[in-house]
Amino acid sequence: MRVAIIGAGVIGLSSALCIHEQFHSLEPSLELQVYADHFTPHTTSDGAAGLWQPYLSDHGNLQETLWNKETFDYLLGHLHSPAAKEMGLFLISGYNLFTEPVPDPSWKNIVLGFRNLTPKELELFPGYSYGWFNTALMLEGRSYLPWLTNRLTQRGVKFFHKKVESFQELFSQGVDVVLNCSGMRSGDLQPDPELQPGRGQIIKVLAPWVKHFIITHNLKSGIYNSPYVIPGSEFTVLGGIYQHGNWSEENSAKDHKSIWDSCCQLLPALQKAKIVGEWCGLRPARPSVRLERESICLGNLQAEVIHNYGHGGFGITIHWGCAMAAARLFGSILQEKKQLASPPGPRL
Amino acid sequence: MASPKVAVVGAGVIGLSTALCITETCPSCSVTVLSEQFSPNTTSDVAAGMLIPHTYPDTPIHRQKQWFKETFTYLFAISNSAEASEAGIHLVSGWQVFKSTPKEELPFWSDIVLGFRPMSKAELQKFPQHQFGQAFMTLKCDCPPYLLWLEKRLKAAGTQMYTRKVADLWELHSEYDIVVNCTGMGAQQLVGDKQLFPVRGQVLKVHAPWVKQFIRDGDGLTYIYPGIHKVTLGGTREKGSWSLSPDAYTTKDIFDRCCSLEPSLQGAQDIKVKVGLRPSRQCVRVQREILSQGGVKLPVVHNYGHGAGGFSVHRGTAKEAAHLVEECISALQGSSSRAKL
Repeated sequence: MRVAIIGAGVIGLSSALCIHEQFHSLEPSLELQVYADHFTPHTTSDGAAGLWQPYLSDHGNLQETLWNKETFDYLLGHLHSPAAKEMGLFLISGYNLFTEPVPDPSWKNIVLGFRNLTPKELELFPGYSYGWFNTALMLEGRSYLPWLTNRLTQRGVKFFHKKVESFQELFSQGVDVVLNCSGMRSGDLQPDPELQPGRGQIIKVLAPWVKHFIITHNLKSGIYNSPYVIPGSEFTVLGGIYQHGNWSEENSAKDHKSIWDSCCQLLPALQKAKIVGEWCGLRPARPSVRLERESICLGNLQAEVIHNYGHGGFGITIHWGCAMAAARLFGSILQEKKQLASPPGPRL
Repeated sequence: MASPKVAVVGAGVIGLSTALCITETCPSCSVTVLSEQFSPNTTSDVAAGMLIPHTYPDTPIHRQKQWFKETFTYLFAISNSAEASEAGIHLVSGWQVFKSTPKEELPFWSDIVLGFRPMSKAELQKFPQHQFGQAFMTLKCDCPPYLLWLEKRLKAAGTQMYTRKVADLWELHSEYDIVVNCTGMGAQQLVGDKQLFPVRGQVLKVHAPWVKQFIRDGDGLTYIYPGIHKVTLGGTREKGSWSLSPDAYTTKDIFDRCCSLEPSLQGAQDIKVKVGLRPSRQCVRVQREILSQGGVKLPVVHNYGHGAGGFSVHRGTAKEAAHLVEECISALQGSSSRAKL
């Protein structure tokens, strides 16, 4: 049973690990291969700060809220394990700031210690009159992806540095199931007008005195179009750009200035921070995550594709829930293939 | 008295902040700081500098609360300014956890720190050996940065600073009009205060930049305080011990206790061990005194004995000491104008 995973970002690698963990003992012939044109540290997941936080509203998409919760609980369970540091996993607390009262988010009971900000705390942020404080998790892509890669390598999963041009290409090589975790470039494999880039840009600075994340929200300009500051283990990420439909992967001077000015206004102490890098990436945005099976007919063979893409700006937040859902879909494919291979005997 | 000459003895957080307050309340004063040690070799440099008050048994609570509030307000403003990183002042949130529910669930300072509330059951799951906890946000003064920032402000105000061991306050009477005694543990010998005793503290300063929150056991013995560059792991409270040498067994014990609160500390690097003697007293001595010897008078203002709570109340006691200096000046001016008659 040959399974090919397209994409080596957080979605591709975690899906591969989840499937291998659950099925390698049940299916001895299971052979997993990861195909990608970019590997860590050059994936979209590597550029993300790594903060676990879903969008403000799930738009009634309870399935995604459940996947977010599964991811949080899974990571929380690993917090005290010796692997935590290597995974790039740690607890972090911080603020969400608003200019007006807003309803509590779908994730208020998933995170720890969720509460409203007190008036004294709001004094720190002129211009913001309402907000939340809670403890969440950081999962830094540039540590997590290598950790996932090591776990997969130990399990005998093979990696291929190659841009897959079509699903057929893999099936004609004898692959039985394809996991499409190609993120932003899923459209190259199968057109999907709902998948659009949500371009982001960040500035990396040294500001080790900042111990909390601060996410501001401008309900008019939309998610991530308002300054945010996220302290990591090696540097702090300044951001606040979300440009729907912009495919540019070049850093923009205008965006740099916008991020810098707005973050320094938010935290005056940042004026003294040293800039150590800049990055931009395309969030693979979609109205909802595409996580479903697709059967493709190739002659007299039925080929199976499991799509797992379109996680926008919450890939890290939702990844494990989606990996487990993808594994369940794989499980049903496996089940069906077994039933086809050994049909029920004659009734006596 | 045109320009009263004030000597501040001691250059830890108390000496430097008191000197700074004096320059603020008495711009005409000429202030000089004299100390055997300056940063990074003071007791303050060993401390984590967390604003979590220590309760002094013999100081009225309202006074301690006032000191803490003044200090918190002062540092809060700095933390929110462009000077924050230079001054080493930053906000830090975290948890104080107790193995059994404390008698006093609401400490006197709970409404001064930010967002104080009991921990939820979900939060307590991180601490299986602890039954009860409090979550809040407070400030941390990192040293040396904070002391160096105070020194810079003092220099800008025209204050001179000299390395000098003062063995007797009377040494200073010919050069200075008023002496301010901020000698911490040194006051035991300098002014013969037998109520002052050391409480030895050993700490580890480690590199663990993924630790973003403080964790403190309510017993005050085990704590994890993340600073700008290093995390302070503590500690010990050895009453009466004068030893400034690190103890290897204690180092392992502190590390083990902290790892049981925060397992990821196993991956901490670059571990450095430090020892400081908390200058402890039943109450902080902020007091005026006029020393008298052979017809000569020397006004002295004492500001020492802050024990485990120096950083938490430093600005409040510094301001009080500065007011006492003003009183000394008024008294001197009063007596000098009398002398002219």
